[in-house]
Order: sequence, then structure tokens, then C-alpha cells
Amino acid sequence: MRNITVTINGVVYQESIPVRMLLVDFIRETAALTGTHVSCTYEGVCGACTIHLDGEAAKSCLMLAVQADGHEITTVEGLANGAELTALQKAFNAEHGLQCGFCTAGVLMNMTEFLEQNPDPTDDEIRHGLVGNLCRCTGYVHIVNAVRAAAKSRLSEA
Amino acid sequence: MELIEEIRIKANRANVFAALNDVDILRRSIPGCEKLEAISPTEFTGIVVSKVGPMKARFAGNVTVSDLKPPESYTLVGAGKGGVAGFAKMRTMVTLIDEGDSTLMRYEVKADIGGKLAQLGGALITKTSKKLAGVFFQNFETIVNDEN
Amino acid sequence: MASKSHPVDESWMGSRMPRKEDLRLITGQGKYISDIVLPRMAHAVFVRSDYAHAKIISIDTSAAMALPGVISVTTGADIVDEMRPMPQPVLLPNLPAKYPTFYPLSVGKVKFHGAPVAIVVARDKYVAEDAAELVEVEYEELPAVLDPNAALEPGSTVVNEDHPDNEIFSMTFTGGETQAAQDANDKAVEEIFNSADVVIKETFRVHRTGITPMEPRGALCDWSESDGLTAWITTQRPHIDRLALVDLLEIPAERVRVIAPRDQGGAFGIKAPFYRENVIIAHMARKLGQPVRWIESRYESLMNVGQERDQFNTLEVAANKNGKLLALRNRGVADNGTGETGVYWGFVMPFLGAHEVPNTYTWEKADIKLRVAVTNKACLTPSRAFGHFPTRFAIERAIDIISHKIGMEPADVRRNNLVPELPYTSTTGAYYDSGDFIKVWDNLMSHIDLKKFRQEQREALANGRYIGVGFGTGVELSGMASEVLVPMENQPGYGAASIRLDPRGTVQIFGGDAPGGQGHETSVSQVVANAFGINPQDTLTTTGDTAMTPFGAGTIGARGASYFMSAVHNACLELKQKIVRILAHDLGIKAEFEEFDFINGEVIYRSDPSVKKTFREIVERIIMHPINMPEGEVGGLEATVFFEAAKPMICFNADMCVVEVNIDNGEFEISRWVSSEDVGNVINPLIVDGQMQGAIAQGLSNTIFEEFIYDEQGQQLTADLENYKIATAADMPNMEVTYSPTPCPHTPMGTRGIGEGRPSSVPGALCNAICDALQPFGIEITELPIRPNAIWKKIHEARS
Repeated sequence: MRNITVTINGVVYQESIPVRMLLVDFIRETAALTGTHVSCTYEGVCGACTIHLDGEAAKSCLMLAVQADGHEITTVEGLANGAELTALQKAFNAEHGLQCGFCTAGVLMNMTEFLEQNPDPTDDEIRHGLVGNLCRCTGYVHIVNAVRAAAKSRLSEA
Repeated sequence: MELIEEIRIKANRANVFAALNDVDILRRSIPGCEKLEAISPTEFTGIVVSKVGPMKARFAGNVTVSDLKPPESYTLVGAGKGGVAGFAKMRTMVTLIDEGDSTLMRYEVKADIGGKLAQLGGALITKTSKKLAGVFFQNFETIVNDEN
Repeated sequence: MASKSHPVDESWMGSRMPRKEDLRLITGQGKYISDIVLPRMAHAVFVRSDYAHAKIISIDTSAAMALPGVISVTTGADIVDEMRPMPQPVLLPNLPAKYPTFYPLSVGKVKFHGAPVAIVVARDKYVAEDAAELVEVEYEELPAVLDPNAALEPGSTVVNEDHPDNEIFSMTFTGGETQAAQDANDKAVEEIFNSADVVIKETFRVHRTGITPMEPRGALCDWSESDGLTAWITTQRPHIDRLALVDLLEIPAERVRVIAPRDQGGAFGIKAPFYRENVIIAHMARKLGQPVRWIESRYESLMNVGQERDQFNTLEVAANKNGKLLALRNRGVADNGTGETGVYWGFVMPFLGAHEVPNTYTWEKADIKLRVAVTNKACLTPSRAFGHFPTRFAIERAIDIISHKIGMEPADVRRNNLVPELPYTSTTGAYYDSGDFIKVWDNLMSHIDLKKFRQEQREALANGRYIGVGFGTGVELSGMASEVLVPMENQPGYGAASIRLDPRGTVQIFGGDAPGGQGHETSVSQVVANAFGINPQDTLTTTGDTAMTPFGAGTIGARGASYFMSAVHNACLELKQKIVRILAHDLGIKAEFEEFDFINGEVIYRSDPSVKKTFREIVERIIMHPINMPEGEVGGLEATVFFEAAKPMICFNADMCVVEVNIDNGEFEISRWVSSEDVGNVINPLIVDGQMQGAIAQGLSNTIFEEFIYDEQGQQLTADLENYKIATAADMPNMEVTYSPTPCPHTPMGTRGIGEGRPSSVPGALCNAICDALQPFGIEITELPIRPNAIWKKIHEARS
């Protein structure tokens, strides 16, 4: 067991946890934030577990919780500002960028960082940016539409 | 999985053949071997700890020596279980060619792998097997020459 | 005279309304099975077989039991006296198959790599995993049966004692009920073949693949003496699962409640069978007296479920030199796996696939036979497009092959042979109720100038570039009428909905079928809003809880807009009629139902629009203040309505694909994908677009990337997403979805159920495009998956 201090969405968690515990399990079970999902057996392929570690998108199934000691995590629950959804979240709703929602948290976390780094992407760039997120329901068309719309909206607000 | 390899051992054939059937020498040569016992002149049982890619496993198994044609050739048939890692069966044909001060050893391995090990992929298993064989023969050569 | 003085609200029917489900899902507030936690909940992990086929000699659970935190370790031998085995009648189709007997845990022997052997329950999920690794099972290996054709040969090793010839099911689909009639039909088909101008014969092989969803399975069972069993299960059919648990565990029906979690991460058929894991989890909860939860890992999921297709179809087609299709003869062999999964038993998928071989074309006669073989692999589980994914591939490829042989444009051959007028009954007895296939096809063709494309193709070839166009069509189920579902699955096909109006003017809707992302809450809210003239936000839809919803056979076979929403519509209608009766009485006017409009939150007498009441007022009056009522009328505003369409219904689609093939490495790029759909009247086009795009992507991913591979020992080698590759956004083309609807005459809103079979026309369309591009080499693809190295090999062979 190890004592760690992890900040998630601005809230500080001081917990004693087994060293073997994955960060995604810490988020889902210890912090009880279930918006982040597990979809593969920790191959790191599906992307449903994507969060931000100190502002950078990372797959939380590929990290131990102890590695997050002293760091800041943002999960999908921490994207919106209270009731104010981000441009990306609003675009996903407007463009029907999700169906079952299981991959969505990971897609939102990944694309949030993506748009910060590439505010005016082409569709091709968006599709390549999404290779780390598997989606079974949408066929990706509406996801690309949503990211494109969010980019446009963010640029016009800037 | 199939593996056909040749290796030159710097020792004469008679010594090599004898050493290949010596429990003590084998135990010291096999990488990760915790235990090796002869339960009959031609049957060995043992435990080997091995790492294949990300999986570390303790293999418990038996090996039987047959078709003994000293000092030229013999066949090994074995099976081992690695707990949750899976299991393996193998058949190996060993041929020794006299080269005076050294011996050319040719071994042909046919192995069936099952369980989680099988899912790691043939390339990784073959690569690991070759590496382990390399370590085995390095150890073996050193020990044979020390003993003689 | 009568006029509408208020402008009619923009109808919610056909509105691209953003979904109600989204808010919770984009803010991480979804409630999936792995998000549900109960006090004292224990964790279950299965010990699974490493061998494809072996006798279980012994199981030593002592080391596992000794681990602190372990509550129990149970093997097959422990449970044989504690529960009934499968099969149970509620899970048996009314089809003449041999149904294997089995328990939730393997008893005596294991029959596929990954079969459940023991279950560990512990207080902590890590302890459960560690304990599972300590269970020692001794096996005696048996030869593995892995080839379905070899399995059916006499002398093959037997997989199940219940199938001494390894055949679980076989059937002739044409000619009639009696052997004599079938023989006469086969003879007539033979005669057509003998005298036809052109005949082709090919064996089409589709590999083992399926539509595994992003969320694997799970079950959380809670037992108390007072409340009985409450089971949260990732399921498309909670009402059926409930009956299965009642029968298998012998619990009185009123003491079993099954809840499909409000949010499920996709299903696509994988969550439609009744699985053995559900039984043992429920059993352990009852035995241990505490909640037990099992969450399937992706590894477990890929080992056990999501495997489908896997058929050989030897198909012969006879045509005349003018491109008229005359007859077809098909011999199908399906690789069923063990067959040990309730409801579908693996074989129901190829059964439906054989039924649908004729597809959307007219045939004078057909001779279709199927054999389904049991092997030492995971049992087939339904996957979107079901068993007709392989047969569609076969027929759509066959049409191109025979078109090439005749020397006609495949698009023309298709148009000339599409069923010209509906209703129509196919040579296998499939009923196509309504639609205009030619209109849908012409709509598709309006999106390409085929003559111009052929010109471009010739020019490209002259420049060493290989481009091609391919087509595929599909007739798909729109829901499943009882007359289809009772024989096929021993279950009713009706849709059912309960509507409850609130005294505050809002509406609650209850449906027994459990969705997995199709947006039912939103579509239903639009139907209800349209009916009552209220805002969709003022509705709440609850699905999938057997304690709260009317009976539903499940979210299967595109039952949403066909059956469930038709029931919703009719329930609203019933309540509207009651509201009008009482309102007219209150207003002191004699008026018929048709004379009132429900618009903008008001119920208005059309002849005098000043005569009206707000929806909320009249609803509150009827529910809360039911005095001074009309003769014979009682208060309250709730209705449960069951809907059965007069006829089994279909929907229809046609696909077009344009590709460019690089002949140096076999790689291909889809430059265009256009579809033309008849999905009847559409409630929410945004949702339907998404359904079509998702289905096409799944079809492409199955066709190109995904493959379940078993080695010569029956070891399943593709149990992670590294090896079982699912298409990413960069792998998929953009898709243009277009519509050419014919409203369905059998549903109250003219809607059709959509989305289930949709992937089936995709492999044919793609491979037809690739073969069209490679026509200079005379290459015909008859096997899936289709990958660059396979294409390159064919080009290489053709060139040398």
C-alpha cells in the first residue's frame, strides 16, 4: 500500500492504495468518478480511459495510480465550467457526435487537447488525431463533424 | 512453433554427448532452472522460471529422452505447464557431428504453445526461445570445458 | 369555416433534434453497469479453459480458497445439483435443431479456449483475480474439431455428446415442407441450370468476425429473502432474461427483477443472447446472500462473444444472356462453435442468412440448403446483419461475376432484376411488405454519372491507375412480427408501451426493450411531443426495467421505430381520445376527436379556436379532479398499448462504393461511399444518419480489418484489440447517406425500423468496386477479409 495525493478536477484526494492499482481504477473506484471508461484489457488501444495529466492527454489504463502522486488530473466530469459546457461538448450534442457514449469521454478529452494544439484542423488531421479512440457506433462521421464545428466555434469566439 | 538451429560447441563430441545427458550439468546450464531431477535414466522432471515478453511464468514439466544413438543423436519429448501463462509441448531432435576438437550440434524443435503464451504471437515466442537457447549453450559450453 | 388560427408547431416528426441522452453522456454522468455499486458487493472472476477441447480431470481450489478475502470458489461439479441445465423452453427457438445440454460452468469437459470452468467470488476485485490464477485445473487434452466441413465428415471427433455427427441444425429453405416437394423443386432448378445461357459457381468464404461493442458484458445480482433477485444485466432483452432466470434457478417469477442499465455501451446483437454467466452470477448472489458483480474484460469478451459470420456458401447462379437472373442454388456450411448459448444457439444466425440469400432480386426458382457444424470454438453470437452478412456478400459478388461473364454492366443487371413491385414473397417465403426498390436504386444512381465514370476509368487505366465502382443492395428486417419471431425464437414480436401523463402536463413513457445507444429516448420524446403538442423536454422515457415496463422481446431486429414507437404512438392516441371526450364534455360541445388539435401546449377546438384548454389543465383535471365526468368515464390518464403490424415489414438500402487500387501493393482507398435508403418516414434524421454511417463503418471494419483467428490447436489468438483490429477514424471514409423513402403502410406513422441488417450490403459493394477496378486482370474476390496482401497476390498471379 502507498499513500498518494492526487488532484482530480481541482479536488485533492489523499488515499492509501495498492501499488498495483491502475490510475483508471483509482479514478473510477477510489474517487468514484465513473465518466472515464475501460474498454480494453489495458492494451491502451481503445482510448476510452483518456484523461488529462497535468494538461496533457494520457491513457489512464497505462499508468499506475502511484505515478499520479503529486499530479493534477482532469476527467470528463471536469471539462464543463459548472453548467457551462465547452464548445466541444456543445458541438457533440448539436452534431450527434455520440450514440452509446461509452467512447465519448475519451474522445472529448483527446479532442480538447487536440484543438488546443491545432485550432484549425483539416478533416484529415481530425481523423488522424482520433486514431487513439475507437468508436463502434458512429462510424466517426458525426464525430469529425462535431470537432470541425467546435473548431469553428472556438475560432469565432477567440 | 518450429525452430531449426545449428551451433558449434568447443568440446569434443563424446564429452558433449555425455554432458547432454548429465542432470547436474543440464540443471546448471538451463537459464532459470530451479530444479531438475532424473526420475529414471531417460526421464527428467523439473521447474524452470522464464520470462516471455511481458509474461513471467514458472513452468513445471517432464522431459523424456528416446532414440538414443550415442554419440550421434537422440530425441527429447517434453511437456510443461506454466500456470496461468499457459502450457507447451515440444519434440526436439538433436544431432551431433564430430569436428575433432569441437562438435557441431544441430537441433530441430517442434513446439505447440497454448493459453496466454499462444496469444503473445509466434514471433515473440521464437525470438525468446532462440535467446534462451543461446544462453543455455553458452552456459553448457563453459561447464563442459571446466569439467574436462 | 373551420380553420387553424394558430400556426401549427413545427412538427417534431422529421426534426434533427439534438438528443436528450447527450447531456449526461458528455459530462460523464452516464450510468453503465460498471458504474453501479452496492453495499457489500463482492467481485466475481471466472477461471477459463486454456484448451480448445479437453476432459477436466481435477480442479484444486484449495490455494485459491486460502487467499484472504476470498468468499467462494465454485466449479461445475459443485452446481450440477443446484440448478437446472440449459436448454429451457423460453430460450429455445421453434426450429428443429439439436440443442446441447449445458451448465453455466463446464462439467466434465471444456469445449473451447475460454470456456468457463470455475468462478471465484471475493471481497476485492484484485483478490478475485489473484485467486483465479491459483485455481489449478488438470486437463486431459482431446483432439480439437476446428474445420466445419471436416467436423461434418463421418468419423470426426465429437464435440458435444448431444451432436454425435457434429451437426446442430440443417434445413432446406426452398420448395416446400415435404421431401417430395423439395425434390421436385431441386429438379426444376437443375433443369433451369441445364438450359440457361450463363451459369456461374463459386464458393464464398466469410471469416469469423462480428460487432463487438465498446462496452463488454457485465452482471450485478442482488438477492434478499424479502425482495428476491434483482439483476442488472447488460442485455437487449431484460424481459426474456428474467424468464430464463426464473426457469433455470426455479425462483417464482414475481420475485425476479431484471434491469438493463439505463446506459449501455453498444450492443449490436452481442447483448441479445441469454448467457451462462448471468445464471451463475445470480446463483452465487443467492447462495452467498450478498450482491455479486462480474464485469467482463475485453480479453474475456473477445474469447467468448462477438464471433459471428463464419460461413462457406457455395453459390450457383443461372441467367440468360440478357442479364435476367433465373435461378440460384446455394449450399451453406456454417461454423457454429459449441452452440452453448441460449436464445440463438449459434445456428439461428446462419438460418436467417440462408433465408435471405435471394436478397432483393426476383428468381424463378431457388434451391437453398444449409448445414451448421459444431466445433471447438466459441459459440456464434448475433452481430448486426446477423447471418446474412456472408450470404449477402455471396449473392452481391455473384451478380457482378455473372454480369462480367455476360458482358453487362452490373448496375444494369441489378436494376433489371430488382423486385419491381411490392408486396412480394421471396422464393424462401420471406415477405417484403412495401417499398419501391427501383425508386431507391434510381436515387442511388442519380449520384453518379456511370457513363462518365466509365470514361474516367478508361482514361485512368491508360495512365496506369485502377479505379472502380461497386454496388450492393440489402433488404432488411424492420422489426420482427410475431409470425416470424415465434417460430424463430419462441418469443412475441409485438411492440408495447405504457404512457403515463402527469398532472403537471408532462409525460412518462415506459418500454420493455433496452437500447444501447440508438437514441430511443429522443425519438420517443419526439413522437410524444408531436402527439400531445408539448415539448420533447417535458417527457421522460424509462426502458429496460422489468418491474416498470410492459413486456418486450427486446431491442433486436430493428424493432424501435417499427414496433416500440408505433406502440407509443397508439398509446398517445388512446389517451388523446380520452382527453378529447372529457374536454368536449366539460366545454359542453358535441365534437369528434378529429375536431381538436393538440398544439403548443393547448388542446384547441378547431371550429372555434377560442374554445380550448391548456394541456396541463385538462390533464390535471382528469387525473386529480375526476368529478362531473361524462357517463361511463373514469379519471386517470395512463395507457398500455401493444402493437402488432398486419404484416412482417422490411426496409431497403442500396450502396455504391468508388475505390482506387494501387496494383503495386494491393492497397485500396475508398474515395466515395454513397447510400440510398428507404427507411420509411423518419422521426429524427440526425439519429438515422448516425445509424447508417455506423452500420456502414462496421461493415467495412468487418470486411477489411477484424478477424478472429484460431490456430491448429484451437488456441484463440485474437483476444485483444491489438490483434483484433477495429477500424479507427483514419481508416474510414466519409459517407453520404441519402433517402428515398416509401412510408410503411403498416405502422401508424409510416415509420420503419432501421439499422439492424444494414452492414450486410457493404462487403459486396466494396469487393465489387475493387474487382471492377481490377477487371483488366480478371480478378474476382470470393473470400473475406479483403486485405492489401491478398489483393496483391491475386494481381501478381494474374500477371504471371
